[in-house]
Amino acid sequence: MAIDRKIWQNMPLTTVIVALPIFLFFISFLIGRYPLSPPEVIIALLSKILPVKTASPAVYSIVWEIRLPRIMAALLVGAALSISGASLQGIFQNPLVSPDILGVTSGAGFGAALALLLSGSPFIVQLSAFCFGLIAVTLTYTIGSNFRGSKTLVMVLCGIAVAALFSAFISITKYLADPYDKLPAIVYWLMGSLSNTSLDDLYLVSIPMIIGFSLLLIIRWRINILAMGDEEAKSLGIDVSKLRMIIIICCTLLTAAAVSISGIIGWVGLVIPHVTRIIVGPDYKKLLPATICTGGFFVLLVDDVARNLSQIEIPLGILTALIGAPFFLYLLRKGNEGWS
Amino acid sequence: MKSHVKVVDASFAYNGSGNVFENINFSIEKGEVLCILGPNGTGKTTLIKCLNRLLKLNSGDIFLKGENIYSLNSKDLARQIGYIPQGHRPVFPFKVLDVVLMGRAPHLTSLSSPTENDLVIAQKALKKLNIDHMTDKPYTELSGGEKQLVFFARILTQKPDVLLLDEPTSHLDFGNQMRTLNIIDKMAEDEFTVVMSSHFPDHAFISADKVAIMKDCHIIDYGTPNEVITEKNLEKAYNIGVKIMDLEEERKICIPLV
Repeated sequence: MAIDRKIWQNMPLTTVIVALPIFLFFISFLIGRYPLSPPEVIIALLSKILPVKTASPAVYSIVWEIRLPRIMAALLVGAALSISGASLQGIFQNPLVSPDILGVTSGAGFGAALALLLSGSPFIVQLSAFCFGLIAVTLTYTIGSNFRGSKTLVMVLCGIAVAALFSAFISITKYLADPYDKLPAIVYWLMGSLSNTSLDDLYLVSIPMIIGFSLLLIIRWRINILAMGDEEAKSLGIDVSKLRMIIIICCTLLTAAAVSISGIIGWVGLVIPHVTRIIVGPDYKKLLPATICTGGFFVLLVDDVARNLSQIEIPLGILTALIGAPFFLYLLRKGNEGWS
Repeated sequence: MKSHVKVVDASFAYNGSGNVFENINFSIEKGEVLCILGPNGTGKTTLIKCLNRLLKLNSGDIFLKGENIYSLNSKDLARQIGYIPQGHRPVFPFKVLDVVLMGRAPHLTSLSSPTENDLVIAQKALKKLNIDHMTDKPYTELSGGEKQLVFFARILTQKPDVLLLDEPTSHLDFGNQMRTLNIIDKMAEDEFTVVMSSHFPDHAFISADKVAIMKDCHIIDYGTPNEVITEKNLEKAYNIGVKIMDLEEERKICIPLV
């Protein structure tokens, strides 16, 4: 009985957390350079599935080819970065960890920069970003596993070193790039943006995203135990290195996939898990599903601002940092609310 | 009848350095409490971690009811041995109930999470230790004594039959030290076999059935508290003069001489 009541008490909160991104999802279709009315959007959305009277081709194309991919991308990127950040904070027992801690972001950044320099095809850029993200983490993990000492600490330190290495590679690529054509493209990509997202981009990332999200959600309760420390987890019968590797793989797939469609978007993976922890508590059973909603909501909101605030689109990565950084400082000042 | 826990010729060294302990032998029966005494740095903690396979012996074997612990998988081991580490610095403020619930991990399949039934077991454990009022408290806000109780509740949820305690009474005030020893006694009555390390010979008199004194990599004496905790042995172990006195019948105390 006591349990039933608890679920009931948490109901409104759960509803709000789930409803907010869904609500914003629909609102986001309406706003933009070309304003649409709710009926127009609904008809355009339905016309693909149901034989309703078709919307005008222009509206149809805006809804399906421009806004839907972008909205979905924002939700996915936000959700992926946040769930990865939350999971990695748990397994490294460190609230300051963000998804790029093992070098995935710098690796992906280099992959994209290199592809932009050599080819420029959006598909190659995305693929290269994704692959180099994986390569960077594999490098960190392999080096880290061969060192003695506290695995978590060594891993984080190796991640910092590998990230520095790939940042240097990015700088070399920029230095070599044609300053009138390639260089701006690289710089713009690194600032993070969803303005060129197409449905094809989403298809490409769907497989790593599905694997990452579902595995993390399935094993999420066990992250609680890893967050208590390696020795305790082992004494509770957990195969610590295997579980940690699975989680790192999931987070890397998610983050690399996210970065490959959006470029580098900072702060989401660090700040959103903390905010969510303050709202729903540190239990990963609730925390991970909640971060998916809050992360998706935050990035979609910021992206709506990015494409509507001014005539020129503001790069998303700049806005998340502009909003995320002060907010993070505020949290730090407020004291150890979500951790200790 | 096979001993519950049996250690044979155990030696351990951290990579590349000298032995922390060597040729350790002892065996304990079901429901017995073994207290390991000895000065700082003699490898009490290391030995306890080896019993739990957190560290791997360089040579020697450890048997649980006749079965070699190195042939068990980690879940089987966790169903038989529970461990309360010494001092714990939590990062995230998990609720007490969530911490206790973690004890169910070895009983669940790798992909599942606790069910209603597991929750009931955890709540029962909290009730048994009279800490059900803490159920929803963040465990980071508890005092040392309260945290210790939460760990005992987790052991009850984990349901092993061997309990390893690394200095369970350090960092606790006078009252909590005795309360902890009481719980250990009760667990031994409930057929738990307990191995604990301690810095207090007095505590061994209170709750131990067997005592091992470790010094310079070896167990220098092993037996019942009355046999082993002698002025001579304590002097040898700690390099100070010690006087052992009878406080009342069946209750001895150790007094270090200045």
